[in-house]
Amino acid sequence: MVTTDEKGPLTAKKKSVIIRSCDGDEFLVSESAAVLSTSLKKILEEKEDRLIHLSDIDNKTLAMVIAYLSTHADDGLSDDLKRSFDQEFVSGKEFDVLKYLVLATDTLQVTCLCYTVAKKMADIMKNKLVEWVRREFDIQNDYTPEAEAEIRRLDAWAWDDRQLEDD
Amino acid sequence: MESPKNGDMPEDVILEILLRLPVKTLLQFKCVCKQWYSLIGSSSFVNQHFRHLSNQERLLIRHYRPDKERYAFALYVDEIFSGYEEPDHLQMPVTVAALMGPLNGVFCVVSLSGQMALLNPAMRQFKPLPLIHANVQPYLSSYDNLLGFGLDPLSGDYKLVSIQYFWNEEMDAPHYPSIVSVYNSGSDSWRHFEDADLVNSSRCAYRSLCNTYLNGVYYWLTEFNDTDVAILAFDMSSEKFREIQVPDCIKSKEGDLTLYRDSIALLSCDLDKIEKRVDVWVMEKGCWNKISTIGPFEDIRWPLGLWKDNEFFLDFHIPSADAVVGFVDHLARLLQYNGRCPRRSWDEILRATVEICHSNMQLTFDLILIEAE
Repeated sequence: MVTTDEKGPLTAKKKSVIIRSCDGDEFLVSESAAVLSTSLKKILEEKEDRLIHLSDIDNKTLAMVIAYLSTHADDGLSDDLKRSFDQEFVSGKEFDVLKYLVLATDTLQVTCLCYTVAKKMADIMKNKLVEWVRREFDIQNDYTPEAEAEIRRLDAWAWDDRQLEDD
Repeated sequence: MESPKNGDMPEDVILEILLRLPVKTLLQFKCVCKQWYSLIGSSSFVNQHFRHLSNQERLLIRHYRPDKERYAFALYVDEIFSGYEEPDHLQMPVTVAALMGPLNGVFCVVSLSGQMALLNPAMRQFKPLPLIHANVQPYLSSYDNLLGFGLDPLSGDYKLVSIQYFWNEEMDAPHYPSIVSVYNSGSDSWRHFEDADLVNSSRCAYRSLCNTYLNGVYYWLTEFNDTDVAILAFDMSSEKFREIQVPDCIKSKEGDLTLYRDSIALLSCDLDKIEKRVDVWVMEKGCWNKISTIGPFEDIRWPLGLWKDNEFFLDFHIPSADAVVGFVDHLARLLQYNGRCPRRSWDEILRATVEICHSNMQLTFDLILIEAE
């Protein structure tokens, strides 16, 4: 099945590429949108093949990234509109979704989207407990309780007056 | 598909997220795991975080607390005269006489007793420096100490140069030459030497309006033989002095050195005239250019410095308010002045000394705060 993004009919006349997610779905993307990803640009320069298989990006995440790339490749949109699209793009998204997105931007090397997502993730993390961070990033606490207490003691002021959230 | 695991999250992605967090949160997140601890504590992360766009605009403010009868320091997240947030109060372990800097977010603090320290207000780190121990003859007493705070661009270490002028008590005359001491944060020690040519008691050096350090060199305006004016420059890497000439048109005027964008600048003003104008001279590629003249003003006492790109800090004298400090833009429009200071922290008329450090700028001035109600 080939899914075209919203601007499919307009961009179809231009050169297009097909990108396949790890779930097997295929997306038709204009080349001008695809090359905003440094990785895709390199692949397209190296081979004539118009089908690119991404083994570590799922359907849902790939669809979001392609929507982003298509918007930013649209010459008809002003920079202001693109900026407000970026804000809208990350607002309200779950932390889990943002994690997949930021990983995809790293794989595909889409720097500006990586920065936007990283900013949103930092905004969410700002008032969170250390335990929340460990859980969300699935990080094992490799400190002894004494070592952790010592780190807290050294910068005690940073812990004094805040209501930190655990959810 | 499972949620991404820590192993899936490359360090460069973690880095991009952490760079966008405030210092306070980062200090807490050192507890997440050892990997995050070493990442957050690394000097490359500290530098990147400092240079990151969202993390720069802070103000370090000193003001007098009449309730506690002492000066208090606070780090503000926004500009001084607008958008007040609850200040982040700093506990300063010494009584501060002078603050120099900041360089990469670090200040050099001099206490009333002469103790020096490096201060990182965002990290609340206060590192006392070892005392200066130069071998000085017992009949010499130090009568002035000129300081310059900078970085060695080769090593990245902080350096502090101190020029001590001595009085010979036996001969009741100024001693010649002076003793120069250079502190290096890499070795955490002082090196002492004498310089007879450029640093001696016949040459009078002036403190600049801000920490006039630029690209590895510290600059002072100096006067010698009563009328001659030149700039004394100290290279932080080679630890050598040199002299820079100034054009005659500057020599005839009184002025103070400061920084303007990425250049050394001289603000000069003829206070004897009724209509006072401030000339802004900038040294570019070894040449002095007059880039701006602001004024005329009738009530200015002295230019205090530059604010952001094109705003000036001036010390005004307005009879009804005794003293007012205001911001003026390059068209000499008064933008803001201290009538709009926060009333939350100072709810009565009080005299305060405010010290503002913004980017490369530091100003010290006395200020009268007037409560509107």
